[in-house]
Formats: sequence, C-alpha cells, structure tokens
Amino acid sequence: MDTDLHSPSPPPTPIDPVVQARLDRLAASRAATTPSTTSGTTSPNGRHRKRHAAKRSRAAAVLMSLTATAGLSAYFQHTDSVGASSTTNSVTGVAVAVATPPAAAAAPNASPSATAASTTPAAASTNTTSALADGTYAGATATNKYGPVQVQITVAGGKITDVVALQTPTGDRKSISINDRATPTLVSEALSAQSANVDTVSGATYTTDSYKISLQSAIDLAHATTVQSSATS
Amino acid sequence: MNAQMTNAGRDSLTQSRRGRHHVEFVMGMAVSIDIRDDLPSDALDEVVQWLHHVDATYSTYIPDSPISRVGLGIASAEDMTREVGEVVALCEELRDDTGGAFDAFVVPAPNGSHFDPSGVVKGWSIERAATILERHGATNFCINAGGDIALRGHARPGEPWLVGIRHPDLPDRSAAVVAGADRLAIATSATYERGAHIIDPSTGEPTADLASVTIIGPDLTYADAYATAVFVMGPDGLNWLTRRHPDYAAFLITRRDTALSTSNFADHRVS
Repeated sequence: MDTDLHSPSPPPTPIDPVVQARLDRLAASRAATTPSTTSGTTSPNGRHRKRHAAKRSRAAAVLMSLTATAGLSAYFQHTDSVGASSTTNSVTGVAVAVATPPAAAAAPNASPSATAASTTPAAASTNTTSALADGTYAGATATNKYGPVQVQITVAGGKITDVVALQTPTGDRKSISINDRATPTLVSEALSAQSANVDTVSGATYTTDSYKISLQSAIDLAHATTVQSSATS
Repeated sequence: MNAQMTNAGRDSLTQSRRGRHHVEFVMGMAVSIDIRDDLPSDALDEVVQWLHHVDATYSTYIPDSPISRVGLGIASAEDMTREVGEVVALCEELRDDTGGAFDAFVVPAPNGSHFDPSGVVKGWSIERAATILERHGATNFCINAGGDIALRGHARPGEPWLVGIRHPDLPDRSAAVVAGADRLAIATSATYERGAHIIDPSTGEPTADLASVTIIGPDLTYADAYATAVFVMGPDGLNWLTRRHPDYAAFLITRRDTALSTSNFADHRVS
C-alpha cells in the first residue's frame, strides 16, 4: 500500500487564524523538501514565495484582476490606440482574428512582457478621454513563460460587458468565454506546489478497483489504522 | 487489501472512542465516513443502513428497484413514496434551473428506461447522511462518497478540513487544495474514471471538452448536480453559475491544462 502518500503528521497547536494556520502547515511541509533561500518575506519557503511571484506576474499578464473593472478599463485605455483602430465599433462580441506571433510564444521563460498584438498598424488616433467607446477591443498579447495570452473585451454603454480569452498559453485557439469573475490559471504551475497532505480528496467517482489505488484509499487506510491503534492503547 | 480495510471499518462500527473512520462499499463506490467526535455507535449504524436503503431504492442497476419501476412506468403506489416523490421533484427542479443541462429524464439508464436520477441521489443521500450524524450530536465530520464530499465543523480544533481536488491525469496529485469548515460541499465531475459517461441531454452525445469540473458550496445535493450541468455547459457554465448561484464556486480544468474558476473560488483555495 502506498502509505508514503500520506503523512500523518500531528497537528500543530492552533494559534493563528484558521486558514493561516493551514497555510503555514502546508508551507512547512514543502519546506521540508525544498531548501529555503528566501529573505525579506514572511514566508519561510522559497517555493511558496516563488509561486506567489509567478501568480502576481501572471495576473498582470493575463489581466487577472478582472473584477477590478477600473483597473481593466485603464489598461484598455492604454492599449486603446492599438485595439480600437483594428476593430469595428460593433457592440456585440465580434471575434477579432489576431495571428499569434510564433516568436512571442517561443520567448523562453522571460518575465511577462506585453507586446502589441494587432497586425494592423495603428493608423488613426483614437479618443483618449475618460470613457471607453463602445466596441470590441483586442488587448495586447502578453507573454509569460508559458506563452502568449490575449484578451478581448466588449464595451457597451461605456462599460465592459464581456471578456474573451482569444489566446491562452496552452495554445488553445478556441476562444474561451469568461466573464469578469473568471480567472484562468495554469494547472501545471499550481501542481508543483501541491502537497499530498490533505484530509480528503474530491474527484470523479472512482470504480471500486480504482479506489484501491486512490489517494483517498490511502488516507482511509491510514486513518483506520490510527483509530485501531488508539483503541487498543 | 480491500477486505482488510472494510473489516477495519466494521470494527469501528461497534466501538465507541474518540473519532472513527469507516469505509462502506455501497452504491457501487466507496463511501468514506470520517467522524472526529465521540458518538454512540448507533449513529454510524444508522448512516450505513440509510446508504443501503438508498442503494436498494434508487439503483438503476436493479431492474425491479422502486426507481427502476418508476422509470419504466410500472410503479405501484407503494413505489411512489413521499421520499421518491422528493427525488423526482429535485430532478425536475434541477432540469429547469439548468436549462436542461442536467436532465435526469432523458439520460439512458442501465435499467432500459430514460429516467436516471443517480446524479441527484448521490449528493442528496450524503446530505441526508450528514443530517443523521448531526442529529446524533456529531459536529465535526467529513463524508466522501466516491469523490463528492460533505463536511461539517473542523478536521482538528481550529483547523479546517483540507480537501484536495484530484488532478485529471495524476491520481495521487491535487490540482488545487481548498479549505472548508463548518458546512461545505465539494463535488467533482470528470471523465477520467469512467470514461465519457456524461451525456449532453440536448444531443444525446457524451461531452468531453473539459477534463473536470469541481463545484464548491453549501449543499452537496446541488453541488453535485451543478458539477454535471457545468460539465455539459462547458466554460459558459461559469457564467451560469455566477449569475444564478453566487454562493457556489466553480473550478474547471480544460483538456489543455488550463484552469478556469469563478472569482469566489479563491475564497476556498489554499494551495
């Protein structure tokens, strides 16, 4: 049995707020396997800090803080001269075909950098006053270490009504419609920070056979053993 | 190994001690019941009995189960208990709420009918099981029914339950970890265990655009059904969920390693 999947460490004395205590525990378990090289941060764990740095940069690149509409508006006002000139002023979500420069996708693990995405030269100057003009705007392509990301917004009545990811770092050409509450992230990035030290596992309903080799099975077995030993002591 | 684990669980049925962990194989899956309170032994007995009652009543694999007779149009008055009526009403409610993305009345069932409420029955029955434990005084427990989870209270004093969301391609890795306390449900729909078995009611064809959909919210009855519905809807399901059920969060993993989530998923995620 894969009992090594499960680490039945005793719980620390809870002195922090609930979630913070759990975060610290997770960080500690990771620190046990990752040498810490960080400084100037409250996190004792290099990987932890790195993940958050990546998350921040990704957020900048992919416009993660989409809920902050003001910030998004500012961003697109900034790129307005690129986007508006290449699109029509239709209010509905017209897909803007933008070729992905292969060079952008191949940029090797550089820090996020924004590059102009439109292949159409920005000709006419556009309105740079406060409100966004109605229409559909393709944002600049931002490249993170996973590849290019491009977001398109639709503005109606001066407000952003729709956000569509035209490109994702995984090369998914099919537009994924997301609203201002959705946040795309990369699973593989988060995966590197995952710990197996969980109480239970949510997943697709396993067959009886696959249950036997599942992480949940290992957890169940470990707990059953714990219960038995405490009963006999 | 399987039998050994079951025996270990059975032992805990008859002994009263601080916390118990029982695995029951029922409804074609393993149901893990993790109780962190001291309880009279009949509390767990009652839950186990309830789960087997649900299996016998609502299994579409049993040709003459009450639910099979209902689906096949040969139900007697005895079959249509108030409880069965409740399940049928739940199916209707969810079909209308999801615009047909979750529709128990068109999906082919193993019994040959086109009524399969299994997608409702699992979550509903686990919520009922949680109610049974609460009635016996349990306040800290977690029931995991084949990957769908209803939890209460805390895992340890002051610490929430930590729930891993399985990575679609890596059975022993979590794609995300969420923390839950007091009352929370986590349900995942995916095709990696049983193949493309989720049917789009509008086409009758299996759906496979997404690798997995996880829904987090207060009630497993609905979280489970929403997970199926959002799986059928695809990424647009995020908009549907946000609009109609803002107290539920969604975490979608696409076939291209990209995760999409509603913004309130961040309230639950710890890793």
